[in-house]
Amino acid sequence: MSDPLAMTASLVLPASRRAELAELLATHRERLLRMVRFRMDRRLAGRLDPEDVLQEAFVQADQRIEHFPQGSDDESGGLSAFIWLRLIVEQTLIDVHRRHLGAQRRDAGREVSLAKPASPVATSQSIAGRLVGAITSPSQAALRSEREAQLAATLAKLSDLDQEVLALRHFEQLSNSEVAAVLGIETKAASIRYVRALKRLKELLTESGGLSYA
Amino acid sequence: MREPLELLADEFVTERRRGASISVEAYADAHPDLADEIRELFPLIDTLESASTHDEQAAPLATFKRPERLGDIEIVRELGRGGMGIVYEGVQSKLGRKVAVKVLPQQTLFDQRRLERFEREARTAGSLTHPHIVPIYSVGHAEGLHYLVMPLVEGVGLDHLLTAVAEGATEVRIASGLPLAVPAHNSAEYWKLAAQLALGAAEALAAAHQHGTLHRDIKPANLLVDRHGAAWVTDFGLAKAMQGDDLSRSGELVGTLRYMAPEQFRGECTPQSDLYALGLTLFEVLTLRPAFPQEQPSEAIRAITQQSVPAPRSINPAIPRDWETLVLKLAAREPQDRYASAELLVADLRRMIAGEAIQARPLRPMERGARWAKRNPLVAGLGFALVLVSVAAVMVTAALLRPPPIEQLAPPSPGGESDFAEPRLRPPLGPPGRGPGPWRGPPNQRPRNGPRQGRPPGELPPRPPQPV
Repeated sequence: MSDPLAMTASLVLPASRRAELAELLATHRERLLRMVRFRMDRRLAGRLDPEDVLQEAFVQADQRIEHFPQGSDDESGGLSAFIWLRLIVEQTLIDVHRRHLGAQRRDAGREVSLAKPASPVATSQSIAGRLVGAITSPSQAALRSEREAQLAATLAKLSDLDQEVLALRHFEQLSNSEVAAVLGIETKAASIRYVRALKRLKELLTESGGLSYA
Repeated sequence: MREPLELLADEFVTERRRGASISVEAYADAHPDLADEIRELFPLIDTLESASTHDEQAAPLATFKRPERLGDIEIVRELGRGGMGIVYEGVQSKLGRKVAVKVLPQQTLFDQRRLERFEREARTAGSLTHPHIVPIYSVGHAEGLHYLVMPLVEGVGLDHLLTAVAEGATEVRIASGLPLAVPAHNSAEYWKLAAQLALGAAEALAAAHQHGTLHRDIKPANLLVDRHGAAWVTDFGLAKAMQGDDLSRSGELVGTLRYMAPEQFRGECTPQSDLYALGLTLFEVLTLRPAFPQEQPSEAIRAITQQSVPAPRSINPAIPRDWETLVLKLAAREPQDRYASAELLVADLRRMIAGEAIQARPLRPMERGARWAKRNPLVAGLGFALVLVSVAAVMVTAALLRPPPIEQLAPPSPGGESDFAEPRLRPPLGPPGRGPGPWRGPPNQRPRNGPRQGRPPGELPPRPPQPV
């Protein structure tokens, strides 16, 4: 909202659209924040507050309110509105990465050996980072974090699409139809993809002689 | 049409996020046609879900800013942090008393049911009053934080103290900044301090067990040593209180892995499990290294459940024989081979301190054999003869080696045996190339979010996402 031009542009839109947007933001705030935390470069973790990234994305959304999908209160309209908003957050995050890590991008590129990720903001590294957690006192947690470390290594072996499906479902907490919309596939296909990704992950874990998960 | 398994997974995850108590088995039972896939994939889903919330749990602790005050407590400074939260020194303004405030990691008590259980457990454990137990004054929450208020013990964690001993330090700073003299390892004063600490902890356990409370997480970090060399057992029952809802089929597993008794991996926790953990703690006091130094949880579990604790004197020959017998009895793999109660341990420690013969023997063959046969009538017939032969051998050995009382055994501190033993006492800090080994520094110096030590080959270090 700091750009005065943007404000005048959006002021001419009906007030109801902006109210709709505000409501949408409130509804999905938690999950979008999750997404930012999950996909934000860990080198920025201490420097940037995910809330600020979200704030910036909301300003962006407000500026582009004329593209805000119609009828966001019905079911399919609500879905596309969320997908639209999520896309804006994703683009904002890419901008933020460019701005803060521009000079270091080559370093990042050297570390990342995977093929081009399905999402502009890589998934597998985020998963790996998330999974290598600190060991806490209760031993179950210790066991769990070893499992997770192993899981991280195995996840990286999955195809990009498989990784993305699992990340969207579990890390961003998207529903099946939201995953379908983000990936541009049918809900049935998304459903099959998800089960397949889980099975593939299980297979790879078994192959690598991992800990038993049962 | 969505995949039936995907629909169930969706339901499972939704319930899990709501904090409902759900089990993989219940799902498998309710859907027999998909049971195999459920048993195979749902635990994986569980791990994915817990991983996705890890960061939210860990991050606030790492970047957590010290609160100015909590309720009526003014926070003075941070004393340390660990898996169970951050400990601050505070002043309760109304009463003008110094307190220790333990702030729990956020999100661990995310649902009402767990919170209530935690408060209940903390109150039960906190109601223990004993000269060697750190009581809990109150449980509170303010500004979204949950915390425990305890008296401030002017002392230092035993883990910290042992690190100082291993480094050959002559003193260590305690909470108030005052120095606490550290006796040299293997000196007469050292064994005296060890006995005093062991006795205090054993008395605390005896009192708690009488009260029907188990500690479940005895370890060096949970034994505080005050300026008079007295032991204070802290975090009574907290492991249980902090335990999450168990989702998998595995039994109850609470406590710190390295000190957990073998039976705890089968879901049994008894007073003998606390005695075992105290035995492993004392093992470290004697040898300055953990009985099971494995760094990978799975390796540690394998070692604990399949191997016996090594004889302390094989690591440090300067250890008095009675000490070794006592620790091996505490750390016996079978619970019934340990002391039958903490009181009996107290009695033996008193004998040891008084220079009398302790009652513990390397083995109690007949009793053990008989008990075992009762439990395993079928196998007993086959194995009993063999057991008899080996216990007979041990009995003879025990009789021959029956050690004199501790006083006579205390090694001359400078020179002689202890000099000889010296090079073996400082183990290399962990396996080569593995970074800091078994001796962790004081808890507040441990990295929380950094890459874990001893990463196995093939495990990915955390990597940043690729900006495009």
